[in-house]
Amino acid sequence: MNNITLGKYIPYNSVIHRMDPRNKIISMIIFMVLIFLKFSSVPMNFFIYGCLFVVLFIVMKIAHIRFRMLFSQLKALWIMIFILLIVNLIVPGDESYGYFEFFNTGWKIYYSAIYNTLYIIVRLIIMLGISLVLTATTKPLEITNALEWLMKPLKVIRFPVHEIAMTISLALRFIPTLLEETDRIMKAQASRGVDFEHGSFKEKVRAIISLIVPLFISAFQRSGELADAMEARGYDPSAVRTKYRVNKWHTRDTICISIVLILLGGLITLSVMKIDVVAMIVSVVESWF
Amino acid sequence: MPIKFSHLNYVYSKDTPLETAALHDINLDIIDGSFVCLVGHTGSGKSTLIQHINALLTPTSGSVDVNGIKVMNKKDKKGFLKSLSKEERKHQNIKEIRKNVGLVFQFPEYQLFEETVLKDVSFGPKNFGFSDEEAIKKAKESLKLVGIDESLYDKSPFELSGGQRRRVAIAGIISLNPDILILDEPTAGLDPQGSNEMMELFNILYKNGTTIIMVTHDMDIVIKYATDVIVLKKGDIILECKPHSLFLNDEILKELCVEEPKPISFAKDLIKNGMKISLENVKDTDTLIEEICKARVKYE
Repeated sequence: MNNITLGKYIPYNSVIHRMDPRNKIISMIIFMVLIFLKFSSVPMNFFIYGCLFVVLFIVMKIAHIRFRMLFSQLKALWIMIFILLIVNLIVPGDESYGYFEFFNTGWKIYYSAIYNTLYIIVRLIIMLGISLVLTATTKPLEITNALEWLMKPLKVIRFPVHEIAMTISLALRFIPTLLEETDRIMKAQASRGVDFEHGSFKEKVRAIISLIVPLFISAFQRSGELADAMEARGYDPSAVRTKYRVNKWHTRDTICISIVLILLGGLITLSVMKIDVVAMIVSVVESWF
Repeated sequence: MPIKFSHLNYVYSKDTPLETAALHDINLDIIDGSFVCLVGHTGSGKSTLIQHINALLTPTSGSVDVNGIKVMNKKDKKGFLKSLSKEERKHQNIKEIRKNVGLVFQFPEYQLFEETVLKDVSFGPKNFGFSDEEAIKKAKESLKLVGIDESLYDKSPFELSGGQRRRVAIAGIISLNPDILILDEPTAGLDPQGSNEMMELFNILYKNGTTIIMVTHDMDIVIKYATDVIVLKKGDIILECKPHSLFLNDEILKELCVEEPKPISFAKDLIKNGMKISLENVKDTDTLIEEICKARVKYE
């Protein structure tokens, strides 16, 4: 159970750790937008994904995040990727990329289906990677602080910004606690002979029930206790409050966001103007020989 | 069912920045029919140690031997299994350990989940292959042992009080008839009477031949029931002794930040002032009175 690394803060003292969380969130959102840009040709798409991969790799290196961590999280996604591939293969695709016949059975497999599946896989990996960078280098409290700041304008339309930020921070706060609890209950049931790994489907369902029921009960109990504790300390969501941690915007944040914005501008230009860098490179190389 | 720890190391979250060594080079023998108390500060590795006996944690290196079945990490175990004959290999089943070693976690009441008390207690035996009737029979026996009234058998465990729930949870482990019963602070959060009743229950099991291993902070329990004490500090065993020697060792007492039990300090004062009583026999107030009477008889 302890191998779940998603959303876990990993303490290091890197540049990325020290950056302003507001900057990190904005940069992450922009980076995610980049992933979904579409370019003029298939090789160009993969070329850009490759570039984004390199950027991601460098960022992860700076933040001391191991690549292995990213791939251990992908394990759960393999089934989804497989289903996506099947769906894409069955549904008739875009003929413009051509197709080939599946072992002369008359079943057409479109290249576009394969490309689309590959796009989704690559996008998923990059998205997971970039969100991993955010959660691994930023404490949950900092994230919610930043979110609260970013959502401030919504207060005008009476959007409960503070309440939402508080809810998110509590939810994030309880992820490790619930994981620990899960681990504990799993062990307790394992010592009563529950086998969570082997056994028939029926046995597995029973094993899961023996885990989920106690987990829910303790989660409800915890939330009740927490609410009481907050009330006992006079918590009032509508009250104006000062902050213990104040976000500070440094030069490094300006630099980071500038780089991301330049990337965004550049890639949008390439996408809108339909500039095919790969084709250009290929033609230049060809002209040399 | 003797237990033998040899050169056991355990590291949490190995190869990450959160890496923490929890146990280093533990060598320990626990013989049949003993009542062992584990004491030490929070984070000294007590809970980590006991989870190895039930194969819930596998050592980073080294091994635990429970009645000939070895608990090792995957790599070591593979090598070990290779050295065995086919017949011997069959014997090396982790489930066999779980069946013979009952582990009661701290606040075990949180592991209840079935609709009725009886169903929950019979859950364990059913998992280990007993038929429904046998499991129900075992459940009834152990519920009787922990003192749960028959009228509660068909109630939901969540309707019971905290103390009752804990009894039910403990019954759920006892119903497996384990040869070794491991308890992680079973009396934490109970009132003194509930705590005494609970300890008497474990004492009955101990007298019936069950090996008891208990994590506790309560020195009164240690002196009254334990046959051996193991003191842990930051993942090392710093003392392994009889309960009385623990209270003669001021340094350790200071280290543990505990006060010695009242009967012991009273007896020590009496000895200091010339009364001839043997400290080894003093376990609680009753035995202290007995000792004083004996000494008086000799004196007269």
